[in-house]
Amino acid sequence: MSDDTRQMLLDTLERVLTDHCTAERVQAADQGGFDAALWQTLEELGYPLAGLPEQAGGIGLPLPDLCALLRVCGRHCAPVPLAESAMLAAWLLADAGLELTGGVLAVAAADSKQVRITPQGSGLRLAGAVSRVAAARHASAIVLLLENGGACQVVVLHPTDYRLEVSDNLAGEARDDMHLDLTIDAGRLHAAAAGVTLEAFHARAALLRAALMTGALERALQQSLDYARERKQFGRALAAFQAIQQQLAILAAEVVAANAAVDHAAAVAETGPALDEIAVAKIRAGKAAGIACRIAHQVHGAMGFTQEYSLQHATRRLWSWRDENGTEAAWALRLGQRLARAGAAALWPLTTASGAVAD
Amino acid sequence: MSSPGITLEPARLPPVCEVLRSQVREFLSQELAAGRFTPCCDNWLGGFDPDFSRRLAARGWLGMTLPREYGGHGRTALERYVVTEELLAAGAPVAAHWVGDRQTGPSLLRYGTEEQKQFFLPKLVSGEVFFAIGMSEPGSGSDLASVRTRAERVDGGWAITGTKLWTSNAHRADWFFALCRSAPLGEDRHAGLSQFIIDLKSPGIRIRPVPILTGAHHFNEVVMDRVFVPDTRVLGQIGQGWQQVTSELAYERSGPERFMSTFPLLQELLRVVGDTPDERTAIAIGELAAELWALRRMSLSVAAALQRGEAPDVAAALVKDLGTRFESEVFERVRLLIDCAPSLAARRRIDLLLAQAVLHSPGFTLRGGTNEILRGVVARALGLR
Repeated sequence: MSDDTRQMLLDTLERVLTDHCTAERVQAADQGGFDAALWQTLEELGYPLAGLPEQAGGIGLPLPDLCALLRVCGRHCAPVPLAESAMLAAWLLADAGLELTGGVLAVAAADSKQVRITPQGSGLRLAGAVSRVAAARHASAIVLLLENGGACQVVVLHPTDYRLEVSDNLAGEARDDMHLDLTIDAGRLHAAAAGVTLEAFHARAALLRAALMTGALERALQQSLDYARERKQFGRALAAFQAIQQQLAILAAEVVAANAAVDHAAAVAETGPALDEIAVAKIRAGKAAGIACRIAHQVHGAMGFTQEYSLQHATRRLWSWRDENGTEAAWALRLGQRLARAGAAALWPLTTASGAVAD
Repeated sequence: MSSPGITLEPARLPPVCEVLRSQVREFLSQELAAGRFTPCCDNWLGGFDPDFSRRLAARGWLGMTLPREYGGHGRTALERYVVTEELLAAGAPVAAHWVGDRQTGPSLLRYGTEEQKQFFLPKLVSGEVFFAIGMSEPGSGSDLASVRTRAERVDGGWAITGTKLWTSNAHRADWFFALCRSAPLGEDRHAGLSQFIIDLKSPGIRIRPVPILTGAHHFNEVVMDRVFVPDTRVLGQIGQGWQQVTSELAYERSGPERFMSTFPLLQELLRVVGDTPDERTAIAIGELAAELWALRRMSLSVAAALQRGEAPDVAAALVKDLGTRFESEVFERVRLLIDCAPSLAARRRIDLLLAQAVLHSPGFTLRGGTNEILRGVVARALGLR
């Protein structure tokens, strides 16, 4: 991947999203969080294949670049499930050596308690449910990662295979509950690639979510800066008030911190396991989201509290996304337990060992 | 919409740094085993131990980035970074050389005369002389342009009169750089300021201790009454003091000491709670570690920018604002997780470290520019002022 190709992909996405993601169109996608025309454009440009290896028809974009693409999506509040479809579902399929179908793919993962697999005649019965599957109702198929007797398997489900109970998140994005009770031919279960476990899947999903969050954070900062320069109170721009300057400086620092954590996690994850680094990224982005939303809304006054003003496109996503793929507390618990098990003497060595040496 | 705000290039350390890191760790564990220091919170301000500094010098870990021709080691800013972060993580007593190593050396290299470089830099590298900072005054804390210490032209040099305050370790250091007004205050507050290299044993200098909240003596008031400074001890250009000081602040604000002052306490928390802490404690440890790791990535990026010859003053200000708030966050969380009785007389280590952290904490968000001033620097970069 040359730097030129990478930059071209980012620039093109930036241009496409600038055209498509007007405040009106993002608002129009509020019920279900999907813009079919935008997805169509992205498909024509090949973005859903970006993360796949070349032999699977993709361009093998590494994780740091996928995260950079998602940062652009987050900045524009793009109402398309690029992370789920292109970087999770397609990744599972390609890694398991399966054909990619066109259209939006949704993705889900379930342990053996959520979805039970039992022999049924000559086939297998899948029964259970997975809650809050992103973009499920817009998907041509749902790629499901299953834990089955210690091994992980992938099955492609079509809309006739499942029943959806429609729901959404705070940003109006589709988060549908999928109910399963069907018998399939055993041949439809495919072994997941080596290294693809439920844990690895959840970590990758959390990293991609955190990358989207950094984009939405940048959006909240940019809108707040613009508004502070334009809006006048007591005869001068908001930006001239020290109290406002201080708050915006704090907001900017949160954005930089979240970006640093996500960039680092993506770089480490590209070369190996990065559970700790991804935990740090999701924790840090989640913390930044809370602070950024509070400050951005405070700076915008009552205007930002209305649906007609577009700040809410970023802040409602941030409030939703920080709770998805593991909250700060969930990831901090896991990181904290791991550090405690390693012991006090290991705290600093683990800190410095993280992505310690350049390639 | 392109990326707004301030960007930091991710940095990774070259392999040579990890070799160096293991050497420093080995040295520190030997020092600890021999009982030659006790880890403390905020020991880069409080732990003044000239012998320890000289042992570091003997290993080649003072003046690391200074050129070999001045006795330095010609190493990179990232190599120096590794040494400093290891010393801070260990809570080592590094106060004697900290200022000289961090900012005096680079400043002398940049603005000093050939004679000054040859005279001071080798002594700084060997740990023979220690420096203090002479910026703040009774009437000027973060507002450095308001300094009133006067430099008056006399035969062969300058006569300095005025008072410097909050001068850490001036009573034990050998020299300091004093920022003085060398021309009357005019329209431009930043003009007419100059820096002088002053021997703290000079006639006319009186040093009065100003104890901090622990009762320890780090701060001083340095009163100068017509202290003679020869022309050879002017730093840089007369009238250029503001520009010189500003570049010095980039070094002062960018290092890992801005988020690691309370690291020994965080580590002690892990020791006290053991390998299976309750859920609340585990979450707190995870959150604090996440902040620490993120800050370290940011600080490394700033160090890499310095290494590339950039002036990352805005990024440094931002890291210092976040980092110094984290330093206090550590003890605020720790005290609610354990049954504690912070005291400087405590026998239990965590109570002692907690006491050090709490009583040193007001300094975290003041020294090197208050957080409010730093946010002003960030706000300016964001185009708000």
